[in-house]
Amino acid sequence: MTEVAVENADLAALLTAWRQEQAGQSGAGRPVRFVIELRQPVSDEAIVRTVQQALSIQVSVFPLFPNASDLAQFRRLSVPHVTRPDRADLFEAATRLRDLLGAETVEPDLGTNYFDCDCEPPDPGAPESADWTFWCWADSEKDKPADRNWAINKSLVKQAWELAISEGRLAKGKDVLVFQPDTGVAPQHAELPPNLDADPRSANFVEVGERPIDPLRTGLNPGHGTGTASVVASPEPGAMTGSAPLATLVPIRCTESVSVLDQSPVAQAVNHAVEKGAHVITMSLGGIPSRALHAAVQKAVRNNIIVLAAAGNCVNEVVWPARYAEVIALGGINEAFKPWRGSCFGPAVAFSAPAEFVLRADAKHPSGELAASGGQGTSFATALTAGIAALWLAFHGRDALIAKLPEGRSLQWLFRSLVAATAQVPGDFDRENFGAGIIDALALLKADPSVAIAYGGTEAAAGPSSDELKDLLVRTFGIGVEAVGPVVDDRQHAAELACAAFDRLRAVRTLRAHVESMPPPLLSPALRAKLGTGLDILRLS
Amino acid sequence: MPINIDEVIAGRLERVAPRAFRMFGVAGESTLESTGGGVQQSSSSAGLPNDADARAIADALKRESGRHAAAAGPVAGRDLNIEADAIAAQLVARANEVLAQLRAGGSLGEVSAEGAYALESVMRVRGRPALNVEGDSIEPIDGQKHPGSEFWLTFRSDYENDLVSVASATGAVMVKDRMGIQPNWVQGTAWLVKSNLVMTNRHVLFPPWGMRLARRIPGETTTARFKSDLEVTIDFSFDDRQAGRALTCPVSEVLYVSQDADPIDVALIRIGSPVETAQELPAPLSISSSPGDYQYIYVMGHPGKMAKVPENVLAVFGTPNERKRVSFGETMDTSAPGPNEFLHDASTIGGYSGGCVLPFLKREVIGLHYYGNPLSGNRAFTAAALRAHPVGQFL
Repeated sequence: MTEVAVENADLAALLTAWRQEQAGQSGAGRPVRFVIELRQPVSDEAIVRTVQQALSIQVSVFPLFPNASDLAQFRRLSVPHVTRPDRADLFEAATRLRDLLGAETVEPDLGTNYFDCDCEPPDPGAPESADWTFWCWADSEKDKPADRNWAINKSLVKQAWELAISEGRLAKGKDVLVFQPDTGVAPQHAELPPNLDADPRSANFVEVGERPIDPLRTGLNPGHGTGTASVVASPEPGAMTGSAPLATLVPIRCTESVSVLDQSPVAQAVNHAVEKGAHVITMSLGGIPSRALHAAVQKAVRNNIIVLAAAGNCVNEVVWPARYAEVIALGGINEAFKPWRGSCFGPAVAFSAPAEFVLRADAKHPSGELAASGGQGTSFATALTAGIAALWLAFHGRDALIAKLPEGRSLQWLFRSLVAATAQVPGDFDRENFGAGIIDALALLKADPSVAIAYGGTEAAAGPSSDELKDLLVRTFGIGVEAVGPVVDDRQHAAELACAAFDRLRAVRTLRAHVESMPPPLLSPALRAKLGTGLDILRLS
Repeated sequence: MPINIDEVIAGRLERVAPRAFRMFGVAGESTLESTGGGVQQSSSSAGLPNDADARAIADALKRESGRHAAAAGPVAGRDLNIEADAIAAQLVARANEVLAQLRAGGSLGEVSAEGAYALESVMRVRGRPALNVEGDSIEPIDGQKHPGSEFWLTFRSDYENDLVSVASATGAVMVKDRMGIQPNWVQGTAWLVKSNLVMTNRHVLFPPWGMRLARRIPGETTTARFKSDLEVTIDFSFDDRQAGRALTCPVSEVLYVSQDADPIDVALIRIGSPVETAQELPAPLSISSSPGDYQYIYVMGHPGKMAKVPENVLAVFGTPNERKRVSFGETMDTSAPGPNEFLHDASTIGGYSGGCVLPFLKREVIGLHYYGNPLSGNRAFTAAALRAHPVGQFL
């Protein structure tokens, strides 16, 4: 560990405030959390000692993944009884901790809001409306689909069930384990399988040790996990059905709201799914890159788990974890097989699935006529596809598929290749931005996996993660991004740079961009110093 | 009974877009009258967006493109006049599309940002000038530069002394990057409420996107400290006067900033003596203590730089250069946004945040501008709301 010079005045002010709060135990809420990625093994006690001696604040350090020796480099550092400061201060503190500990990275849990949900719009004249992504939501009357259950029908899900039944194979995703990191579920909802929260494989990384029950707190877009869970596994009969009604849905509560997302509990959820034997992981959430989350999804893919994530909503560019090359990113389309207007898009999208008025359980109505209604977002494209992945695994048998894999190839690769090869591709489909096409469950099940295996193709993935960040910066800010190359290569700043990009992307299509001037982006002094003159290209416009 | 389509349009617009309603809803109401004792129905021309609007927008764009061409040299292969005509025609067409959309039952929330600013483009060239402050005078109203603004000629001349006086007590919240990376920028507007105290908006200190100027002090809900890597000053002299006087005050303390969840978006900043020691600060502005029913108002502000300036802004502000302006307009339906606020239609953009709103008839602040909405109107907190709020204890 390295000695570091006295902190700058702003950081000193922050630390002083934290010391005072800790002395009076006055800081409210959850601890401020960081994830340390160590370069070499160091005991948690040594980390605590170093931080307390250098910064005079009380911290605790634990492994982020307690049972995973292969991910032991990730430790969670918590600062209790303090107030979470603004983003720039958090990143400044994180960089200071990184330098202090000589770690590879230290990343704060930020609570990012780069994943919009279809909640109630604000009053059109109110200041909040300036930031409302009004352009991204279809109108519930004018754009109402002709077929309420179009998502299931146009993905040919029921035909896929019938094929499996007619051939005497396992149908409807039977015996497939679909793990779902999300907000948890409302377990008594009529459109969910009963007692999902009681599954011993489920988990809660928000209220640690509790069942994964979504308390449906207002103001946090409650019930997101209930909706996505139903799209996977809502049983028959009912007001709706999931794409895999016989699959086993295992909820993991890892966030209070997908609109306010900490990355490290998502990483824990993914690793938990791996440890509990998941076959599919479906993530209808997203935000900024995270070293720990990346490591967890890589591990999942290595373990032949199909890992799906939503491309994202209302920020144009694909969010993480979907943006990781190893993950299958789902774009969204509507009943007319046109892009859902809010879908994030770009080369990172593997393929697309229904995302506009997808029939899903509405947590506000636990039963009755309103228990299911149309939801919008790539969340539902992801959940629907997770169910179809379960159909495919059940139909062929997961072990049989794995046995056929060529050396160095994953089940993720095979699934991605086959969906791409069998997708529905309308004549004017935008393959550059919405992937290979629109998922076709029947064609997928009919396709001979050996054909894809014989055809070959590359295992997607595994480039340095900074490539995805560079790609985001290039696509967001245009030319001149070479100037920030050295900063991009320093992984410490990846999350903060991604925030700057998503801030801009979120802003440019809101009313605010047309009525407000934009101050320079909120960046920590450490990153500003490293960017130097390159900073100007990150100006919001 | 025959249906009066104008009434239908008016009814629809009144519900969803009061500002647009005023401008477009009642056909034939054109009242560019002088103020010489006559009764004014409105300071705006009315009727649906038309060729005259397109010409006014195009003229403004041509002036701007001419200025840029003069500065940067001719643009090869481009005819900027033709471009300006085309853009203006598109904006007017789009504005009419938006009105048709609203007439057909669309709601304000469905209007795209592009549609909103097309509508705004037309509204802004219909007599909502933003005049440069030039030291001890206010830029004259010019028929070409400020189309449709003849209505305001008498206001500008009769009240110029008041306008200058209020302008002198209004300053730019100027930010300097102590790390020397960013060029200086203006983050908003502030005005003297006492000899050592300025009022602005909370979101000038804590913008929703971008550089925050201060950090809240944990455990203290309504105070904050300025960040040390930024140097914030209040510049009372940042205007268009050629030989500029200098009058800049350092900030010393965030005396009060409303909590994040507080609907009143206000902050008070204590300032030090002017850096230019020979200078004295102007008299502070008093905040009205009596309710008034004022129709004609003005807003002081510093239009912030925009990396990509929409045509509607160009048409009124030219290229926003952060220097002090005064925008003329009218109050709107005062009950619309709630008891603490009123609506006005003076041209404002980012940078006006924190600016004061005054009537022409009295040198008293009647509102704190905090938000601009092209369709439903710009918003300001009333003087009464500020006085009744905890921030009132400092006033």
